[in-house]
Amino acid sequence: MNSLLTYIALLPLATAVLILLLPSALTSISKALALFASALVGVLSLYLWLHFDPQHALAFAVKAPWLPALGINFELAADGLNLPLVLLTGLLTPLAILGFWNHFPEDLKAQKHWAALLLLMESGALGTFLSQDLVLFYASWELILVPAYLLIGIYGGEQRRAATLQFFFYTFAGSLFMLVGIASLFYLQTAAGAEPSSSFVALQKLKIAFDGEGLASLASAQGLLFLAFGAAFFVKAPLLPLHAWLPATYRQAPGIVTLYLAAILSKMGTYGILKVLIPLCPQAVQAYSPVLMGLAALGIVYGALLAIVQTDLKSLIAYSSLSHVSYVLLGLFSLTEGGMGGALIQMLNHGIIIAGLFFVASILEQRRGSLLLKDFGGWSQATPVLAVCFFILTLGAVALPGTNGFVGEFMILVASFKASVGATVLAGLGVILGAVYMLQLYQKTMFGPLKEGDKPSDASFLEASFLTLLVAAVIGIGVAPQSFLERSQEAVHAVRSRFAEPTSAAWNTHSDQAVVSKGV
Amino acid sequence: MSFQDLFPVDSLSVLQWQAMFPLLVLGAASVLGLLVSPIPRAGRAFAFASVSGGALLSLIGLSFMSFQDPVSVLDGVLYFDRSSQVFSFVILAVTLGCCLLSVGFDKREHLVAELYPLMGFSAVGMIGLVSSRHLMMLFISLELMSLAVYVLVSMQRRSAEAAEAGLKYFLLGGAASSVFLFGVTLLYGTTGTLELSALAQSAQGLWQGQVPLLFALGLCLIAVGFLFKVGAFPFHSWVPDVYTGASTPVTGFMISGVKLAAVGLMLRLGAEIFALPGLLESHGALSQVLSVVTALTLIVGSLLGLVQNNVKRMLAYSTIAHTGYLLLGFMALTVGGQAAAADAIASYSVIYAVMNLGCFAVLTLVNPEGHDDLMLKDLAGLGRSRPVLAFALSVFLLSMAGIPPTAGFFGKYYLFLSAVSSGHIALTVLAALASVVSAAFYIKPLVVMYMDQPQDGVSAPSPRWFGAGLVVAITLVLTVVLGMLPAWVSHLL
Amino acid sequence: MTTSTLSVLPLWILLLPLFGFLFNALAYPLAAGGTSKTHPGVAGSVASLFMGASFVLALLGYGKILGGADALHQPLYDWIHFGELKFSLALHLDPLSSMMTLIITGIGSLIHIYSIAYMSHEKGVSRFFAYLNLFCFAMLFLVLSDSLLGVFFGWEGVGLCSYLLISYWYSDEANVQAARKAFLANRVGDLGFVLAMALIYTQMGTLSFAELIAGVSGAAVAPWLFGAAALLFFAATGKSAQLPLYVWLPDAMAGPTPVSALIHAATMVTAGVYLFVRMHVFFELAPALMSFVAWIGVVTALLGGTIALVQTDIKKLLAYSTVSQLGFMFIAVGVGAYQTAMFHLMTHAFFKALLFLGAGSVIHACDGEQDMRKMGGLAKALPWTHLFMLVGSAAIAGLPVFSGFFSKDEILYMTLAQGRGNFLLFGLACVAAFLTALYAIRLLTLTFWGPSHFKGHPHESPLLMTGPLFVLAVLATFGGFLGIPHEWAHDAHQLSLWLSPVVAVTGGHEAALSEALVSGFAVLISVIGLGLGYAIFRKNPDLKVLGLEKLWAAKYYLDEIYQAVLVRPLHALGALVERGLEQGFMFRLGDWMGTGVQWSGDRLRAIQNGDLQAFTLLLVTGLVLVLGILWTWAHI
Repeated sequence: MNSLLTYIALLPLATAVLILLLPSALTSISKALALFASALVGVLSLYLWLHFDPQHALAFAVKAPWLPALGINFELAADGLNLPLVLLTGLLTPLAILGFWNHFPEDLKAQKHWAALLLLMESGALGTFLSQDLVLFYASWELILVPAYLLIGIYGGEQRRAATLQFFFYTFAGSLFMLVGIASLFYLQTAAGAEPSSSFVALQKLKIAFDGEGLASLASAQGLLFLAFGAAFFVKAPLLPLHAWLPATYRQAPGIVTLYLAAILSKMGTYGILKVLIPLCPQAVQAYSPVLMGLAALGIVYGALLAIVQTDLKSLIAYSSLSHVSYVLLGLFSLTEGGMGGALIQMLNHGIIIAGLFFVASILEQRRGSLLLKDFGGWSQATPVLAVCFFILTLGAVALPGTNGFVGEFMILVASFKASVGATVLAGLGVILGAVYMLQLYQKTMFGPLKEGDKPSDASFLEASFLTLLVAAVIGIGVAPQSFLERSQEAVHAVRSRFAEPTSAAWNTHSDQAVVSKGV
Repeated sequence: MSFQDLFPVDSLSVLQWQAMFPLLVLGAASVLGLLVSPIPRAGRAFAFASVSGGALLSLIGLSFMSFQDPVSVLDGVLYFDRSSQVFSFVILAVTLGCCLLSVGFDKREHLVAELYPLMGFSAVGMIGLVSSRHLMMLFISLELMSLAVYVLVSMQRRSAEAAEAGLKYFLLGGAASSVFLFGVTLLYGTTGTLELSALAQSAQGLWQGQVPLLFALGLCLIAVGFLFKVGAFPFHSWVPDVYTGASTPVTGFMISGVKLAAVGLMLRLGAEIFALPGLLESHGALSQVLSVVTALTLIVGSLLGLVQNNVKRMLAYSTIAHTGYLLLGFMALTVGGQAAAADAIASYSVIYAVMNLGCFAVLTLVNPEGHDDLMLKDLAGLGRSRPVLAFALSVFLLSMAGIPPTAGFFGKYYLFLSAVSSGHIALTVLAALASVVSAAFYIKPLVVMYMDQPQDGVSAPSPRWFGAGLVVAITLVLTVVLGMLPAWVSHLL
Repeated sequence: MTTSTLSVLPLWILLLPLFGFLFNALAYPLAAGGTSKTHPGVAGSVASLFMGASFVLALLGYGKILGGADALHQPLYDWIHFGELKFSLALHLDPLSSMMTLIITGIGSLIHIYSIAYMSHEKGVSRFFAYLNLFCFAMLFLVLSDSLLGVFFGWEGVGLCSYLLISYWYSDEANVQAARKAFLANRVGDLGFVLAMALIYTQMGTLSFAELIAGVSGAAVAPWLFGAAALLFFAATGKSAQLPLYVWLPDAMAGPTPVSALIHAATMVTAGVYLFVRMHVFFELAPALMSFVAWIGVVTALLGGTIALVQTDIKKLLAYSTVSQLGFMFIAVGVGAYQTAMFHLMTHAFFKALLFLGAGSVIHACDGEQDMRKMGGLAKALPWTHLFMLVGSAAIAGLPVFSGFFSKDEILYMTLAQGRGNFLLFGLACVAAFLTALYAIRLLTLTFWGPSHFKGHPHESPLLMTGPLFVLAVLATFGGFLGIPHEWAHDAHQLSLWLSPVVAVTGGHEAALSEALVSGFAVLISVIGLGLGYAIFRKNPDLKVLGLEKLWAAKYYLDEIYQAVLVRPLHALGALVERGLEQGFMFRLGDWMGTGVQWSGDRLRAIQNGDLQAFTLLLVTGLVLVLGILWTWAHI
C-alpha cells in the first residue's frame, strides 16, 4: 500500500478533472461521482488512521522526483501531525456532500461545477496536509484558492463580489510572502553548502540565524522567514488582526463552501504553523511567543464579543469560528507539548463542530429563506432531531466536558497557563463569552414560541445522518480522546524538540536520515 | 577579399547547414508566401500554408538537432547553441501558433494576406536575434524583426488606431534602434571587435579596476535598446498603445514572439557581457540603475494594469510587469552572478510565451467583430456562453498571476528563487507585492466572466475558428502540464 | 491516604442512571415514534427503577465501607495522556462520597417517583425523565470522582442538566432566559474552576485528590495556594449560589418543581460545599480565604433570608431560602467545621426537598398557581401536604427534635467554637436563623392558614406524590439524630465519626458559650421568629420594615447592577468593536489598500497620455538619466 497516500491526495483531483470532462449527457452523475470518489478517499484515510504506527516518523511515505534540479520531490507521508486532519478531511468531505445532497443547485451544470470544485479543494487540502515537501505543500495550498474563489464568486450571496476579492487578496498576499520565504530557504541551503532540497526533513537540518533584540530580531534571517511564512499561515487561520476577510467570506459563501472553509481550510493555516513555521523558525517563534499568545487570546475574546452582537446566523458562527481557531493558535504558541497536542485535537474538534454548525445554519436558511436571528424561534418543537443535534453541537462549541470541544480547550488552557498566565486568563473569558453567544444562537432559533406561519420541516434523512455522525464524533472524542491523541504524541514531541537544538551548530548534511517507514 | 572569404559557402560543414536549416527554410517559406499572397482568393490560404508549413518544417527540423556543442558560422555571426535552439523553437512555435490563430480572423477583419509572410520575416529576424554573437548581425536581425512588426501593427487598414500605433512604434523603435546602434559603435570603438566573446575578452583586458567610460556608455546604450524592446520602464511607453492598437493576433505575436526574442537578446548580452566579472559588482551605480529600473517596471506594470478597462491594454501592462520579473532574473544573472538565473529566465520566457499566446488566442475568438478594443465588460457572461473558452482564459490568467498548479507558478517561483539566491530580497518582496496587485487585475476578467450578466442580456456569438481553438487547446494543456511537470522546462539551457 | 479496595460497585451506581437516561432519551422515543408519544408512566417508572437500583447499590457501598473497607476504588481510563498532560478518570467511593451518593440516589429516587404523578399531565415526559436521570448520573460522577477533573465533568454536567430542566418548557421566553442566566452565572464560576485546575496542575502536576492532598500536606502557605483556593471558591459561589453569583437560583425556579427540589435544593447546589469538604486540607492552607468564605456565607444567608421574606411566589421564597441555607453551610465551611457543613447539607437536603415537593403538591393542587397571595386556607383541602409542610417548616426553622435544629445549632455553635469564628459572625448567623423562622412561618401562614383566596377547587395529591413526601418528612424529622453527639457534650457525633477518614475530627476550641447554651438560644430565636411571624403574616401578607422591604423585593438591585455593570457594557463593547474596529477599520483595511493602489495607478496614468512627444520625452529622459548616473559614477 505504498501508493496509498498518492491515491488519497490525487483521487479527488483526478475525479474533479473527470467530472469537468464529462459529456453533457452524463452531467447528472457528477454529484454521485464526487460522492463516490470522496467516500473512497474517506475509507482510505480511515484505513490510514487505523494502521498508522506512531513509532514511525513518516509512514506510508511516497517520494518521486518532481523537479530534481531544485531538490523538489513529490513527497507524501503520514505523520502524527497530519493524521487527524487527513482523517477529518477524508471523512468530512463525503459526509458533507451527502448532507448537502439536496442543497446542491438544481441546475445540472452548476452541480457539476460544485462537485468538481469541491473535489479540487479536497485534493488541495489533503495535499497540503500530507506533503512532506515544502514546494508541494505550497502548490497544494494554492490549489484551494481558485476553486474556493469561484464557488463563492459564482454561487455566493448578494455581496459575494466584495467578499471574494477580500478573500482572494488576503490569502494570495499571504501566500506570495510564503513563496518568497520558500525561495529564501533554498538560498540559505545553498549558502550553507548543502544540496538544495525542499523536503521538510532536509529543511529542518538548516540552522537559520536568529539574533538581535526585540524588533531588531525580525530582521535576522529567521525573523524574516517567520514573517514570510507567518503572513500566509496567520491570514489563513486567521490570527487577529489578519481576519478581516473571514466574516464576509463565510457569510457570502454557499453553505457547503463555508463549511469547507471553516472546517478544513482554516486548519491549513494552523497546521502550517505546527508543521512549517515552528520547526523552521523555532527561536523566532519562541521569542515572539508572548506576543503571539496575546494576539491569540485577544482573538478569542474579540471573536466572541463580535459573535455576541451579530444578528445573523452565519456571521455569528463565523466569529465563533474566529474565536475557536484562536484557541488553537493559543495552544500552538504556548509551545508546550500539551498545548500543541491540544491545538492539534482542537483543530479536529473545531472542524467537526463548525461543520455541524454551518450545516445547521444552512438547513435553517434553506427552510426559512433568511439568516437573520430575528426570523427564527421555537423550532425545537417542530424539528426535534435537528434541535437535539444542534444542541449537542452547541455544547461542543461551548466546550462542555464530555464533548470534544472541551478536550482541546482544556488541554490548551492548562498548557498555556504554564506559558502565560495573563493570556490564559484572557482566553478564559472566552469560556464565558462562548456560552453567551452560543446559547443566544441556540435559544433564538430553537426555543421560544414559533413565529407565525413558520412551519419548518425537520432534518431529512440525509441531513440527519450527517448531523448524527458529527454528534457521535462530538461525544465520542469528548469521552475518549486518547486514541485521537496518542497517534500524534511522537510527532508533537519531535516538533517540541526543535527548541532544544542550538542555533549555532554547524550544518550537517547527511546525518540522521529520518526514519521512513514503508508503511503496511 | 574574395567572395569565398565573405561567403564561404563551400566550407560550411553539414552541421552548420543543419543549424541554419530553420532560418533558411522559414526565410524561403516567407519569400514564397510573399510571392503567392497576391493570388486572388486563394492567396491568403497559400500564404498561410507556405509560412506555417515553413515554420512547422523548421520546428520539426529544429527538434531533431542537438546543440550540445555550439555551432558557429562565420566566427559567431550565426551561433547556434542550446539557448538559441530553445528560443528559436519557441519562436517558431509561436509563429506557427499566430498563423493558426489568424486564420478566420484575418478574413473577417480584412487583414491582407501578407500578414503571414510578414510574420515569417519577423520570425526570421527573431531567430537571427537569438542565434548570433555578432553585434552587427544582432542589429540587422533586430531591424528585420522590427520592420516586419511595424507593418504588422499598422496593417489593419480600417483602423486609425492601428495606423497610429504602427507609426508610434516605428518612430520610437527607430530611435531605440539608433541608440542601440550607437552603443554598438562605441563598443566597437573601444574594443575593435563586434563578436561578443572576443569583445568580452578584449574588454576584460582593457580594464584593470577601471572600466572605460566609453565602453560603459556603449553598454548602457545597448541596454536601452533591449530594455526598449522588452518594454521596461522608462522605455515602456509604446507598449500599451501599440499592443492595444494592433489587431489581436498580431498583439499576441508581439507579446509572445517579439518579447521572447528580445529576452533572448537580453539573456545573450547579459550572459556574455553584463555578467563579466567586475563589471557590475564593482560599480554600484550601474547595478542600482538596473534595480531601480526593475522596481519601477514592476510598479508601473502592476499599478497601471489595475486601472485599465480594455483587456488588451491590461494585458499590455501585464507584460510590463512580467518584464519586471524577467529583469529580476537578469539582475540575478548579472549583478548577482547567478549563472543558474539564465535557466530561470529561459523557463519563464517559455512559460510566458505559452500562456500569453493562449490568452490572445482566446481573445481572438471573443473579440467582437469590427472593433478591436475588447473591454472587460464585454466578457460578461462568457462563463455561461463559452464555458471552455472562459475556463481556458481563467487558467491563462491564473497562470500569469502565478497560482499553482499552472505553469506560471513555477516560472515565477524559479525567478524568485534566483533573485533571492543572489541576495535581492527587497526586490523580490517588491515583486511579490506587485504580483498581488497584478493578481488584482488578472482576477478581474474572472469576476466578470463568471459573476456578471452580459449587459444586453446576451453575449455576442463568437466564432469557432479551428486554428485559434487548436492554439487554445494546446497552450491550455501546456500551461497545466508544465505546471504539473515543471522539470520539462526547468533546465532548458 | 487510606487503603482502598478495587470494586466495580461505584461504576454501577454511576451507570444505572445513565442507562435510564439512554432508555428515555433514545430507546423509548425511538420505539414510541417520537418523544411526544411517550407515556409518563412508562418513562417515569423506568427512570425511577434505575434510580432505585442505584440507591440500592449505594446502600451496598455504604455497607461495604461500614463493614471495614476504607474506600471502594474503580479506575476508569486514561482520559488524556499527552506530553506533560496526564489525566485519568477514576471512581472513588469513600465515606464522604458514600454519604453524598446516598443523598443523591435516595432523594433522587423519591423525586423520580414523585415526578411520575407530578408530570403526568405533560406531553413527552420521556425528555423530562431523561434529563433527570442524566442529572443524577452527572451528580454521581461529581461526587464519585477521585480528581478535580472528574468533579469538573460532573460539575458541568449537572449545570447542563439544570439548564435543560429550567428551560424544560422552552416555548416560554422567560424560562429560556432563566435557564440561560443560570448557565451563564455558573459558567462564570466555571472559569474559576478551569483556571484553578490549570494553576494547580501547573504547580503540582496532578489533579487527583489523593495526590493533591498528599502533596500539600505539611506544605507552607503559598500565594499560589491562595490563588487556587480563591478560584475554586469563586467556582463554588456559582454552583452553590453564593454572593456574588447567586442571582441565577431564584430564576431557576422556572423549571418543573421536582427539578427545584432535586437540583436546586438537595443536590447540585451543594456541590460547592462538597468540593470544599473534599479539598479542605488544601483550603486550610489559605486561611485568609477561609474567613472570607465564612463572611460570604453569612452575608449570603442574610441576603437570601431577607429577600425570601418578601417573595410572593412560593417557589421563589424557597429558592431564596435555599440561598440562605447554603450560606449557612459556607459559614460552617469557612470556620472549618466541615462535618457540620456536611451535616447541614444532609438535613437541608431532607427538609428542603420536602418543602419543595410539598410546594409542588400545593401548586399541583392549585392548577399551577404559584402566587401565595392567591392561596391561603389550603390546610383543609390538603391535609397531608399541610402536615408534611409543617414538618419541613419546623425543620428549617430549627425547632428541636427536627433535623434542622441539630445542624443549624451546630453551625451557630461552631462560629464560636472554631478558631476563625467570632461573636460578630455568630450574631449575624443568629439573625439569619431568625429570618429563617420568619419566612418559614410566612410560607405556612399565607399558603395553608389564613383566609382562602384561591378560586378553584384544590385537591390533595395522589399517593405517588404524598408517598415520597412522607418518606422525606420522616427523614426531615429524624435525620438530625445522626448528628447527636454520643454524649451530649463536645465529643464528635456519629456523622463526624463516619466522615473521619476524610475529614479528621478536630477537637475544636473551647467555645465562649457552651453548646447547650447556644442550643437554647437558637431555639429561642426560632420560637420568637415563628411567633412573631405568625402574628405579622396572619393579618398582612406584606411585610413592612422601615422601607427595607422595597430593597428586598428588588433583591438588593443585584440583577440591575449586573445588567448595568456587566451585561449592557458587554453588549455595548461588542457593538463598539463591531462598528468601530471591525466595520470602521478592519474591513476597510483592504479597501484602503485597494483604493491606495488604484489611486497611485490613476496618478501614474498621467505619464501615459498616448502622446508621441511625451513618449519620446520619457524615453529621452530615461536615457539622459542613465547616462547622467554613468557620468557621475565615472567622475567620482
